[in-house]
Amino acid sequence: MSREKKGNTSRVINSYGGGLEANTMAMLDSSGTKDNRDANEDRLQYLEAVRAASLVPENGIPPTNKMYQAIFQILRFGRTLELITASFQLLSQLHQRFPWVYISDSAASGKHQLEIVDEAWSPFNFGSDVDSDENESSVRSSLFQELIQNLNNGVNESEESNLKILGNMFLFQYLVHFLKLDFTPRNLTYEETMNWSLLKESSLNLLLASRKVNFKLLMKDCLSTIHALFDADGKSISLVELHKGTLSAMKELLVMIMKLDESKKKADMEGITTRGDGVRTPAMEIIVDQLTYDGYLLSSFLQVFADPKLKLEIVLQYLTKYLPKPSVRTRRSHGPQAEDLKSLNGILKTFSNGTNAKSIIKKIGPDIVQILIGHAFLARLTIANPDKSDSITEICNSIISAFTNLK
Amino acid sequence: MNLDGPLDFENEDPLVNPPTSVEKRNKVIGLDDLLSDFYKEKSKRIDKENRKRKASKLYDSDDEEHGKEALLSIVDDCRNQACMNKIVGEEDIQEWGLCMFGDQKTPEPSLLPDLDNCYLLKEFMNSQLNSVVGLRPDNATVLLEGLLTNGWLTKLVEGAPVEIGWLPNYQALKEALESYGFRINTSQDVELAEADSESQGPPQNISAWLKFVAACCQIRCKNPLFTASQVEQIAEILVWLLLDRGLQGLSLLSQECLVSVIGSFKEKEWVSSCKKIANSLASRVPQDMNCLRIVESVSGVDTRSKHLRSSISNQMLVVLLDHKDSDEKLMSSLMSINLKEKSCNLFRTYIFLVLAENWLFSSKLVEEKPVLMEMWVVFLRNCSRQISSTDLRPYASKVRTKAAYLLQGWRMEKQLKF
Repeated sequence: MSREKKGNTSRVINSYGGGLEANTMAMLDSSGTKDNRDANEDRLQYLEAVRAASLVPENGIPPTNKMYQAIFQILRFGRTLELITASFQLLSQLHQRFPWVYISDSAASGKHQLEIVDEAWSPFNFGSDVDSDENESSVRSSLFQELIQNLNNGVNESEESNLKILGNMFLFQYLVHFLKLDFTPRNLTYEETMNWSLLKESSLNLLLASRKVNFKLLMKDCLSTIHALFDADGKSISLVELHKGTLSAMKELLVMIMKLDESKKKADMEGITTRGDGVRTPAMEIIVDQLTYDGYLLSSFLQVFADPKLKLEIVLQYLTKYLPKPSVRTRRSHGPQAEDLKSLNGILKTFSNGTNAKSIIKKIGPDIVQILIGHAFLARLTIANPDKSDSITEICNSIISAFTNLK
Repeated sequence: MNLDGPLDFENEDPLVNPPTSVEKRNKVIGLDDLLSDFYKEKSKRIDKENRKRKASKLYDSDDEEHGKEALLSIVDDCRNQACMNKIVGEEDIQEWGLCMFGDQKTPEPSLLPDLDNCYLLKEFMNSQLNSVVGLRPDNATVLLEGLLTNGWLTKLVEGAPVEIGWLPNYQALKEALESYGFRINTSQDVELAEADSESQGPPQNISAWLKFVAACCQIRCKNPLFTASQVEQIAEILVWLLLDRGLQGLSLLSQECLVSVIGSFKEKEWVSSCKKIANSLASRVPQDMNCLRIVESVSGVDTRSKHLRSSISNQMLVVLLDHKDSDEKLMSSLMSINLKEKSCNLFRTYIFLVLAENWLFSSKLVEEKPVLMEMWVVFLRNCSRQISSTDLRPYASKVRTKAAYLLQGWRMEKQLKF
């Protein structure tokens, strides 16, 4: 244990943490024997106590892993909205205050250094199936998949199961938030250092690498969930807000997975991955296939999926499938940015040819073509540093002639 | 492993598992169960024994009898439950919650700008391209709305210098909230939420209102849309919104908004504004669980919200104890509460306890005035000693356990310092 080497101070802090753990956890110990409302009171008090000990003082100490786990249990199983929101908020604030993966600026080298806290708590458990009781309430890969399916199924259920649905949405948002906090600094450092092991050990990669996850199905579930949650008319205020949050978390998740795919591809090309890293169909490919197969998913997906660069690429891949071959000069996908952007104009130009336009409309319908072009154009306008060679004026002219032909 | 699987403590929750006769028996011998569970737990994890031993040593090794007491309080609770199962829980627990919204009013007719003279639209209608879009004077509003909500308008004006000719002022924002049914003069008609009262609540728009207010406050240093006293009122309104259980789904949004709002005061405004917000809230909030909720709804993570949290707690205590003197006198009146007295209202004492904790420790007060810390410890000792473990008065065990917990935390911190 490396921690013990740090000497006296850390031992005192550790024992303080231990004492704090025993002292605060005692609040929950008696919950089991009390009536429901009392038990909920105790849990709220526990959350307040952790906040008071860890967040309020300037030199507050982080909760122990056992305390984190208890907060997470309240988030997962709490049966009042108050408990769920309070634990959700507390966990987010604790992560902000005590990050377990972060980039430190080392002034000496001018380079960013990735710091990873040893044995930090995680809501996930990717270990073996047989484990101690403590892991019972951690989230395994299969449970994550199940959770997304439940989000999808729960939408039209009765009001009675409302809290369960709300709880699932909060849980999902939290887990994605956690994955992102873990993934983003790792991916940034990877892009600088090409150290694949940083990403290999990221929670996101471990989650998806599990054999228990049917990745294709997971992607499909994500798309159906987006579609199901998109229309929130006639729901309560709480639900509407949660739907929005869940949709945005879903987008974050998909963007992260696509970024992981990109990084993995780079690592593959550099030859720094091993056979143990496995092969997975890139998320984008699955999504494009699914969107072409189930057209009704398209509109909601494009409205939710607000990452302009990836969105543009998805639309281009989609349209490329239906374009007459000779007019496509670039490679099908995964090319560098300049080539992709060129192909937006290139693709649009094929629509100015009446015969081409007609044949595409016949295949996918005028509505869908309009949606695709509209979103691609908006995405292109949003990209911060687009390729200069792909001029807006040219794109506009192509769009005008394309829409004229679509009429 | 599935999502619906119960948590260990949930097995005993009546909602999940309706009590059967077996469960009832369990409740009677719950005391033994609990103790044996406690020790089982202790001896279970051999790999963590080292740390664990240190921890429990700290927990037990108390200069006085309190460590044991804290442990025994679990037992007490259990005993209380066993014999008082029917009485406790019914009248005992109060909940926060106010109904902040009445009936919605018909909204003010929205401002319809005169689009007939809009140069941009006119020019477009005359151009050949209009054959694709089909823009007419009567559908121009719809088109513009669509451009706005789908994110086109911001792209179209990007880079070009845009002058926003109209922004809602404080009055307009307040009127909007009133048309949502918000009871703006909360002093008179705040209602305790009743389970059966079917209030319509505000429209979904309220989340846009919150986001807009937050955005206005974030740019306040550059473009002051509100005066300091208007920002104070907005902050107050947000705290009131957090007291409405119907808006719990918006509580994260409201709290973020509150952080933006109190962050928008200039440094020189803040101290007096914070005090005014606290004063006003404390004088108007009902003197029940709601006054704890207003304190807890201020996140207390950044410096300003800590300051506000501390100020509200302080003002609440001033109101409850009808006290306008020094901090020391406020503490000494807490110390002089005779908790043994049968007529002593322990619910009020519980509120004092939580408020005083937030007042003292969300600020640097005890660093500045160490004597307050000493008085605080005396108050805690009183609470944990003067209330016996068999005291059956409402809130007796809550006050006792809370005080024991805080005392324990104080001891641990003292050890840490040496």
